[in-house]
Amino acid sequence: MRRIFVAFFLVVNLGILTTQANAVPVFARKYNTTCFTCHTTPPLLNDFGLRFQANGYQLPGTLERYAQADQPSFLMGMVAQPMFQYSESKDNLGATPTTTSTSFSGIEVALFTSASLGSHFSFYTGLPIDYFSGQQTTINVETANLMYTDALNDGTGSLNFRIGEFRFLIPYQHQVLLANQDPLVYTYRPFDGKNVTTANTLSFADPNFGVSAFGMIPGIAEGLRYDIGFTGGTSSDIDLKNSKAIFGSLNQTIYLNNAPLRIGAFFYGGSQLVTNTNDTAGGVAPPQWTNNSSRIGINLECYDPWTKRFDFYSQYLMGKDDNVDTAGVGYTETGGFVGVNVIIFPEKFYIYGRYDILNVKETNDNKNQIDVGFQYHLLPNAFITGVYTITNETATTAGVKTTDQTSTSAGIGIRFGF
Amino acid sequence: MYIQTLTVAAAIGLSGLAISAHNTLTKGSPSSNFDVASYTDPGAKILSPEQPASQLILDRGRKMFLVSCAPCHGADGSGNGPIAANLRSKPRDLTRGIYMNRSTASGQLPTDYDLYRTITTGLHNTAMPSFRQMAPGDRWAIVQYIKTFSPRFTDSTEYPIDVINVGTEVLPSPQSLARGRALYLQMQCTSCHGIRGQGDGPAAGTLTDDFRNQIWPTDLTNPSDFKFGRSVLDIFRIFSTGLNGTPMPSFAETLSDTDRWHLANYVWSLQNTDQFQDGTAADSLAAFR
Repeated sequence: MRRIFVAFFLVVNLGILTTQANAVPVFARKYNTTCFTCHTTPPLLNDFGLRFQANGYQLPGTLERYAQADQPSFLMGMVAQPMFQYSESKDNLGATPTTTSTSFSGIEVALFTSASLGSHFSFYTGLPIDYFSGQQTTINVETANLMYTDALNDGTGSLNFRIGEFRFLIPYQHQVLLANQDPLVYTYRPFDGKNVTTANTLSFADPNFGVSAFGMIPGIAEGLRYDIGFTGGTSSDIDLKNSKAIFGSLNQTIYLNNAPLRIGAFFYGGSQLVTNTNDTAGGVAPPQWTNNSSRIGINLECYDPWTKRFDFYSQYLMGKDDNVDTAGVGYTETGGFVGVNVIIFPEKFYIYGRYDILNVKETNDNKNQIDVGFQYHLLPNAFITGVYTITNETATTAGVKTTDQTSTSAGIGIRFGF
Repeated sequence: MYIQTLTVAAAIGLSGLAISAHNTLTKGSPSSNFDVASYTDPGAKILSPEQPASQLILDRGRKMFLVSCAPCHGADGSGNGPIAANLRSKPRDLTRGIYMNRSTASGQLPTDYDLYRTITTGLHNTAMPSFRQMAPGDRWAIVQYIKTFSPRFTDSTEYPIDVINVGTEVLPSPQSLARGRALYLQMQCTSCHGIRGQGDGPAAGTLTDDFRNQIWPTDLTNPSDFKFGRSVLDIFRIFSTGLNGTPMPSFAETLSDTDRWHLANYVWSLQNTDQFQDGTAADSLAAFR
């Protein structure tokens, strides 16, 4: 047993497989501090981390004026989360046999760099490195944006601007959630399996190209975080003619006995050109149409005001796509999630759980997901993570259940960064 | 083309809003009148309760404290901010006026500059970051605001404050390390820090501070574990001041300046592999450790 554990440990340290991992150790080096200044446990942001993020990745209350002063000598940070995983997929209708797999599903190591370029100007980039056996290794530019911080010059960072590829400051950004899986409502894509191409793929789990004003206004209770701007959408290659949207988010924090209570909302609305790639006969240009998308989400989060060790959070999202196919059919999605993060031992051991639900009214698709896990702080820069996920998906046509699929997976890995 | 034009126009519009808001602020807000230059010299203001900070400075200090410090220390300075429950080294309860990182005699208040230094450098291996990038005037304003949390700072019986005297520095040498090792054993440092300095002495697991938080002795062999700096001078300072609110005493009354330097040299050597002034490699001095 000990040999197995040692072998496993060696393997995972070779970096075979990751999922998301987004704590940025370069900041800890830069500010002479630990992960826990900004993270309850990586990647989950605490109140200070939320302020740090809203201040353009600079300490709240600071405006970095010099490009070189106090920057770490090596500006690049690296994080990875190799994981050993067991998965099972079962067709509850009995149409297909149950499948199981035990795997390291790939390699993803992410590099990050962020620094001040001089007074008011700074940048942030995230570069995931993807490796799949037998395929070419790629380094992607997932996030890259230029920021103009503290535009009001009052030292609080209440107004900042950014341009480039970035993630919306929605109340629960998926990459800083402790749970292992992306929220279902963030990854829902109405055009999946439709044989069409779209000018962008709307996803709250991925960065978007655009320009926005963001920050945290400190004078309104314990801070109002916001992000508002224009975007060409996800993976749009800046096709602003065929893909355009506006978005905005607000998230108000109030302290009750020094325990945060947060209420927020966000909105996304835009349009995109859709091309039917299944209809190219006779040299005639394929049919094209415009789909209008909207998403509205509301959220509520609270820490228990006594121990402050229980963090309850929830979100409800409504979405509409008015023209998913040539027949002019629109899809309506509703869903959301509720979750809890629990501090068992400070800076040491954490558990979490989240329940997700997603429903598409027109197709009678229902999806439910439970995601539970733990994280143990093993070494200064390394955390052991354990995850268990169960997902059930059903679809009904004319009152008859056509799909009933249950997937489970369990994994253990190590999240580390330098 | 229409969309590109719209986007550019919107960006210009947002920039215009920002500039407009900035101009409004600089004309009318308290921050615009905050004169950083008038409060960057601590010399005349430390150790003196008779020169209270102006209301302008306190207002600025409060604003910056709520933005930067309240998540850990709490808006009321009690050390019970929303993050505190998750931190192993608890944030300071500022209402007690008890500070570890000082240049003053055991039990005394810190100087303004001591507080300024802690804000500036942070405390290594804790969640207290370095706010070196914060405007100096803002850091000084926070110092003044922090002092309002504790009545000790306005109690005339707390003054004057004695800043420690560093004496004549003794450079590290084999002889100094040998003397330092003897003092390390004599002063019972081993009971907390352990025979090898690894923070694993017999009393290590039982320590609490004056706020009833569990604390752990520094692992003197781990450079990352020195919260207040790891130079010989930093270590000497702690031997001279003690760490108020913790079991770590001051040796100012029990050891001479020279002996405190010897002890500091020895402790410094435990986490250091540099060469000494005479070219002797610290690694070759294992017999003295």
